[in-house]
Amino acid sequence: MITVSNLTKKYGQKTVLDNVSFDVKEGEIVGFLGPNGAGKSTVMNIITGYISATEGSAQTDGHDIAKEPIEAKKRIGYLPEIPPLYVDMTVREYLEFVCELKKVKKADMKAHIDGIIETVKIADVENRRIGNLSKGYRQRVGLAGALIGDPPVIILDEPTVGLDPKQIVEMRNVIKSLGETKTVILSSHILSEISAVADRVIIINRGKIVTEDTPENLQKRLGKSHRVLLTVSGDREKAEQLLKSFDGVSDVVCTSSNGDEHSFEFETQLSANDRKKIFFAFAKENMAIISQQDKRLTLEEIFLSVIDNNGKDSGDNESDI
Amino acid sequence: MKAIFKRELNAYFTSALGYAYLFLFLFFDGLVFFATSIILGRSTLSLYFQGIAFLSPLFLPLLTVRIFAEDKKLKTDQLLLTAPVSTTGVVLGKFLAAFAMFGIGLAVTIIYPLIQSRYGAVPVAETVCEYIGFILFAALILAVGAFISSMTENQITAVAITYVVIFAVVVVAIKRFGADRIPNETVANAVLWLSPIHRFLNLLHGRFNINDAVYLASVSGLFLFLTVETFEKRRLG
Repeated sequence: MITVSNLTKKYGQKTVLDNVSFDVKEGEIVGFLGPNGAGKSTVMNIITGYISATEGSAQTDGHDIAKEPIEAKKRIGYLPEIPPLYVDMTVREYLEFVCELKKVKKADMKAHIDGIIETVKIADVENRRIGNLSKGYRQRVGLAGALIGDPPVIILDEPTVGLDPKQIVEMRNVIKSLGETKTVILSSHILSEISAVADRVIIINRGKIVTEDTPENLQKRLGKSHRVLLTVSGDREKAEQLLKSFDGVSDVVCTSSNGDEHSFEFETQLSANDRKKIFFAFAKENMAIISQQDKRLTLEEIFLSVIDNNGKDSGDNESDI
Repeated sequence: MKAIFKRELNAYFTSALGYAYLFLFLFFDGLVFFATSIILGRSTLSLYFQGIAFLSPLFLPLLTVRIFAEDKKLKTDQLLLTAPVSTTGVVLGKFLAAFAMFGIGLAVTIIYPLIQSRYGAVPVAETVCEYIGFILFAALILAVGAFISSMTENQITAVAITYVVIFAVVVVAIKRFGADRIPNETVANAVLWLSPIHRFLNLLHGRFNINDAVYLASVSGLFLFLTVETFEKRRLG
């Protein structure tokens, strides 16, 4: 549905995008991750035709944004980081304006707007001036604008920035439901939100794609060794020495102590079966294991790890994670 | 383009700007008409248009100051430039809305020749030509204002630059203070030849000259083209 090929964007001498290429299949939800200034918004602005690329091309449903801008734009609904809203208009007036802008037939306009108002849950503010709305409502009105014209592709730049936790959950649910019928690209700093909704994650840093994969695969690729959280009852020093005595256990850290209960975190390459030995060793020393659990890397940690690698290996196209 | 035209025209009436423009235009316009026609007892509008030629550049920039600058500030240019509308459509929609606001004010002035006709014969052809000249002159000022608005997101800056440009144009056209003070006669003539207000003044007193009309229309077109180019250049970064 979207094909981005060798996209490069330069502002004078500064290269903000360097030979970026990726595809997004129809019906896919793709999450775009990267620190501030990584080039996420630039990619989105080029795909949507707000700015043009220095080199390379971006096609939506076979229409090149540089060669057939009107055809490509008809197929895209875009919610930029700051929702592009006219504060002097009411919500309904704004949506009617966007309908006219996107050439929705006048006869269909009312039903179309009513449907979108229901989808993004803004019925209670539809006759209020946008200038008087909260950040959360403005974001939803912006999303409603992106949905006008029923475009098959929805591009959302930081759709949850500035929202409270309840609004983030609501926005996430809306994005999930959009993904059932549309191709969605979204960027976010709140990485848990990406893992909750995206089929695939593209990590971008310093204008280059660092890696792309499903959230699960990224976790697997980085999670070759496990971190384990263990809480035991007994003598702290004895427990620490016991853990360190195992082959395949390293980086033992006592993270908290409460009376005679001590929590440790450590790195291990032991299989689940081998880890029974830990249990019996502690039992033999008359120390009770209160809890033992695997700590999976969160997407946040993967993200930081990938970005960190990319920073160290700057100049390489792909990190070797 | 139609959607943008409608929105922009409505926006003049949801803010104080449209009302401020209409008040200022009609108030000063009425004063000029009163002074030139009622007090001086003229039955033509030539003197009225001469007065309004120097006054209208003060009010017209109010119509263009926000048309692009506000979009940049609110980031609504992202909506317009990513919608299935051409850049030319965006620029023309906004320009025509400003032009329509000017037209609303101008429509009121139709009563002036009607008032005059009660006291004497009004030269219809001459008056029509003067109206055409004024419309072309206003279009040019609006086009210059639109171009300047497209280059900045600060409305104060936009209005200040517009006034500086228009003030220069107006002063040059007052021969005694402007063109006559330029020592080189060829340069002075060239400046007057280029001056839109001088071209408009040429169209008064029943001296309708197609060259002047075409000049005013062409320069308006040029500034609208430059406005479109400003957007395209920004897109290129």
